[in-house]
Amino acid sequence: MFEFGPIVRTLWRNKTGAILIIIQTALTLGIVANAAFVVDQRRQIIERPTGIDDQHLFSLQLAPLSETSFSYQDVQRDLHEIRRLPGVIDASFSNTSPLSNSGSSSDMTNEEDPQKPMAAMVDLYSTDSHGLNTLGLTLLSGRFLEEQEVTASSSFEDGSNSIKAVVLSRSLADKLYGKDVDPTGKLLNGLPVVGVVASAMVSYVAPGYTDGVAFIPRFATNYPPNYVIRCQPQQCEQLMVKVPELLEKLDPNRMVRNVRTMADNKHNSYRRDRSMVVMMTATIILVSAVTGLGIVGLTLLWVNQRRKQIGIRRALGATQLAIIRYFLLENVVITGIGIVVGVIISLAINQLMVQHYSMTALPVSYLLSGMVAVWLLGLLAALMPAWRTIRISPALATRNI
Amino acid sequence: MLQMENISKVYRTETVATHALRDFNLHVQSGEFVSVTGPSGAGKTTFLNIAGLLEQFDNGRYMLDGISVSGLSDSARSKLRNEKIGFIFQGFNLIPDLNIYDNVDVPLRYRGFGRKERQRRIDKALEQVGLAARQKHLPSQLSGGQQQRAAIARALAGEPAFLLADEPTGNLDSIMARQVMELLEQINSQGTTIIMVTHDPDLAHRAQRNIQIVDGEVADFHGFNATAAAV
Repeated sequence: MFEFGPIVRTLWRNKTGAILIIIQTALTLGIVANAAFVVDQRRQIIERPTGIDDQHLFSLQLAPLSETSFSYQDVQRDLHEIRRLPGVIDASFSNTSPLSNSGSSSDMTNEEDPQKPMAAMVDLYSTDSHGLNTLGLTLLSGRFLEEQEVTASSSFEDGSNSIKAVVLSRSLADKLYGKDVDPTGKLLNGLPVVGVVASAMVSYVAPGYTDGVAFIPRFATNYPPNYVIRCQPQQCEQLMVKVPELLEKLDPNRMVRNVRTMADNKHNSYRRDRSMVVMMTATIILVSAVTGLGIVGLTLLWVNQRRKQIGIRRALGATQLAIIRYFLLENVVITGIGIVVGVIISLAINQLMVQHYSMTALPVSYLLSGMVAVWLLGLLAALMPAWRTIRISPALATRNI
Repeated sequence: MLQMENISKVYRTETVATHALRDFNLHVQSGEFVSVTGPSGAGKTTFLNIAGLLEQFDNGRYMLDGISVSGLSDSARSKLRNEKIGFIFQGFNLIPDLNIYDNVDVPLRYRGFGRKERQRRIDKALEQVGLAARQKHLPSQLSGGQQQRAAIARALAGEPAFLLADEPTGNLDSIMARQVMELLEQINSQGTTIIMVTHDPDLAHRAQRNIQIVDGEVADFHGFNATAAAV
């Protein structure tokens, strides 16, 4: 019934076309499996939760028209008025626009055990007592920053000695103190740790750039402050107009700029990841299309070359289905060999990417999915030309062509 | 074995209708060796195609080994063709990429025989035509006569009820043609019914009965021995 033996022997005698498709199939599998892995990794990065209430947040930045320093009293006044606006849940200042992929970062080290100091790259996020509620963070232990702890200084170096408290994200605490260890009450680089909040992305979205966030009550007077506003559902759009108007009324000698939702910030911050997803997806589609068309072309060529042979087979008793099955089986054999070679190429490509681009190793699941996808692609591509054989009459066998 | 009554076949284009067969009647009994002759365009190939279930007819009745073939599905016709009919073509029609063994194997696979049964039948058929030693050869490595014998082995392996031969010696020189003809006579003597289309009057006269087709009709028949009959 199945003609694997004769098919393999026939292919062996007509190698050229088959070898081309085998190479094409193998390369397709290698590229598709690795590209799909990259796409999936980037999508996971883009879609991972931020840990803050990013759907109901927007931020803005103040820019001076003449002055070069900012008064914390003015900031307190502004935030107080903003919080009074209908639709505002809470508001706080910050040193950066959250999720913008820019901010302050620093190395911090837990030196409790001098033999085994624990270092981490820290996202230093300046805010006030409203930061917890504004960002929608979850307090896990201790407490958050308090209003009277906020210090105003012209630079971090000046102010670092006077910082009275620090709150760590859980991921940072894990890195510095160990999994689930509560560091509340300890000193970190001379700063008293007063609490721990659930892990969240605040300034940076780039994976691996920092190990977590340290929330500090410090206002930099020489740097344009950001205001972060948390709105009730469907209120952000209106408030993005009302808040700048309010701020202008409170003090016309400054400019409000960079009024952005967190969706805008995420969109900008993940631009490279999204570009990579688009590029890799396009590559997958293009490579698959080229391979699919190659298989369609070769199968069509073989069908046309073998019209007489198909007529003979039909005369000898082959049903239409048997002829279609023959061409599909032939395709299965070719793509099968291509897939085996493709697995080797996939692993080789991945090994190169691991070595040169610090990528993680290709999981077996991607290889298996790629094998199934390429196999189905081959079958689908061969189906249309194979289907055309049903038009070939068995009477062709008696024609002298 | 084969009974055709008032078979007609018309090929139509937008402007022309060609009557390939008109009210064609033929009755071939089991074990007969019938030759079919006629001028080019008389309808011999159409007859062969209809007799071999390669083509449908427009009107009439065709009984093959007691089975009415009218209205059979393509799949049922393929099955009947595979089980009842062995074909021998003028151009041998071996599949060039398959060796002789695999060529003989083709109809047996469609029959659904197991590997051992196929091997037994292939060995027997190749032995019968004297090609047992050439089974691993490709068709291109054999002479014309050997290729036609391989094609006869392919036709015989399924142990069909009858053989349909289309100019079986048309592409062979006289010596090879004689060998193939002797082989067909030998096969017929073992009980296989043969219908042979030919242009060669000498070969036609070696059959037990000759049917002449002119303009799609049976114009004449000659009984070369007492067992033949035509309707």
